[in-house]
Amino acid sequence: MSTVRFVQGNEACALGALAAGLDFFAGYPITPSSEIAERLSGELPPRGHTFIQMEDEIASLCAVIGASLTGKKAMTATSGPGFSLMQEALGYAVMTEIPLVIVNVMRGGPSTGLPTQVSQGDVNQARWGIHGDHAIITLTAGSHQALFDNTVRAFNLAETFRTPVILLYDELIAHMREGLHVPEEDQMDLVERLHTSVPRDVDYRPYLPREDGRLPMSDFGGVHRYNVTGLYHDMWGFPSTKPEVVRGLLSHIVEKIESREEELSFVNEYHTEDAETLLISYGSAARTARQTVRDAREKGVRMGLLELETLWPFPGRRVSEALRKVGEAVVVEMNLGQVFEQVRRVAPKPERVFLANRIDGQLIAPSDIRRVLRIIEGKGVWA
Amino acid sequence: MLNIVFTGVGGQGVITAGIILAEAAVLEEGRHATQSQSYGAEARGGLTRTDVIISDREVLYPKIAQAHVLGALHQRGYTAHANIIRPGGMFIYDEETVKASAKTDARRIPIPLLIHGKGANMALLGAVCALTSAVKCQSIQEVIQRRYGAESSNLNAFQDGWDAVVNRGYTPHPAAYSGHEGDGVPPTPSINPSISGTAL
Repeated sequence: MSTVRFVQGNEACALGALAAGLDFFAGYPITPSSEIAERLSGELPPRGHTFIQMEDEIASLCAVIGASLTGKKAMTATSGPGFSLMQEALGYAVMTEIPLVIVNVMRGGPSTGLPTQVSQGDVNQARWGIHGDHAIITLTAGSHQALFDNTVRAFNLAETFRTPVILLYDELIAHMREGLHVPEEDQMDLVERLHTSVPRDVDYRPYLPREDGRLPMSDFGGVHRYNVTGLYHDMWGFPSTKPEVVRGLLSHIVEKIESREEELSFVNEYHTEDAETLLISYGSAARTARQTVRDAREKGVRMGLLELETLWPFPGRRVSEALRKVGEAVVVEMNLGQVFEQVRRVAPKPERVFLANRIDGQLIAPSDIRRVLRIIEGKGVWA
Repeated sequence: MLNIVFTGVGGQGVITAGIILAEAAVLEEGRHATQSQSYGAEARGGLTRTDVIISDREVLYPKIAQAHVLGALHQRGYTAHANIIRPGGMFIYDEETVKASAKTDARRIPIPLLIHGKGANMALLGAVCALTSAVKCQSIQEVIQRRYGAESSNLNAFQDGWDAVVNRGYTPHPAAYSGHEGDGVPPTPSINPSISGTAL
């Protein structure tokens, strides 16, 4: 059983967060993400949970980090300009391994850019906005159903891997409305906080992984006293410059995510079984790509789509496998080729990978993709 | 598939009208629909447009390149989007505020809309409902009532828009734009089938 709703993408995200068990939201409203905060400001307090409108984005993420440490499922939501301000705290959350969710609803950038228009320009910022080597999980969505599901998934992955997870989608999905099936509570698999079994007055080591690599947590301010720092730290959380500690922590932070690329590769395939041409896309651009595939199939053209719902770690193996089976591939996105570069990196024949893009604040259209396909086919385009 | 575009300036409620129409299709009739919009950074007064696609299949690309129906509440909206009407499509507007160009290849449906003030968007919905069979009037009324209450003047404005079309003798489009796959099949008009008249 599920309930059908007719909602904006941002509401689908807020509903997903509530379904995942969100306890705490701190944020600073910004177009095109504001409806998330608006919705949660109405929903959280009556449930006994916390909504805070902070003074800025840095403070918002810092509040989320603190809330998460005390055992709460916590998130914030912003757009590119706010996400830029959050980078310092994001690096801290990566280093201190805090489970939390950051929603970045992309608008045109850089700077204040195009507040009300669509873009997918923050893909690389999600990966490399913070300084230093690290790994990060970034999910995206091209429909309200996928957005709801991936919001829940973002919270689950955050808890499983003790890491910040970025949910990156674009203005079109955020503001568009369509149907959403909200599942019953008992139909959803939720990952809850892994608490330590170490009792009070026994030495608790917050950064000592279990055999499976997971780090059980103790609610901050509860029965254990421990240190949390953005400096390289030992298993007690105290600063250390010992080479083996530094090397060990960095490899742990990176490997806990990078070594699970396959487990974290969420992709959808449409008509890929016999495709000669493969489109690769994500977010709202993937809707256009799927429309193009649907239209092509109706004319008997063997075209398929690989839709990425994981952007980071980049699902390179899945992309590479899919590319082996086709003649050429076209990456469809609304930036100057941020995912295109990743696809070329893993492609068996990079020269057979092309880019169909738009960077003018408009949703890429099927005709834009068809023009690129005509050029690849040597047919040219009419000016 | 039925493509409807409403346009005007910020504050007129064209986006709200689009939401109500698509919501009625999805929640009341179990069809697929998307509603998307474009608007400027201004709180009011900027050019606004909403695209509603109603279909039997999942709607993928949500923007409209060729509209079956264009409803304009402001000259600026019409000027910006007049060329979006599909040849032979319908253009609903109020002559008091919109001067239609002779170049627009569409069936013109001039009716009083702005007389309803803030309810102009609801009158527009009533007119759309009388001219297409994409969504039943009852479904739209249901959504308006849920949003604004059973006593809402929005329901009256909706009814007035419907009446304006019918009383002037405008008939539903031949295909009635049901938005169902394989359109061209004789439609089931959602309005009184005895009504006829000459279309402009």
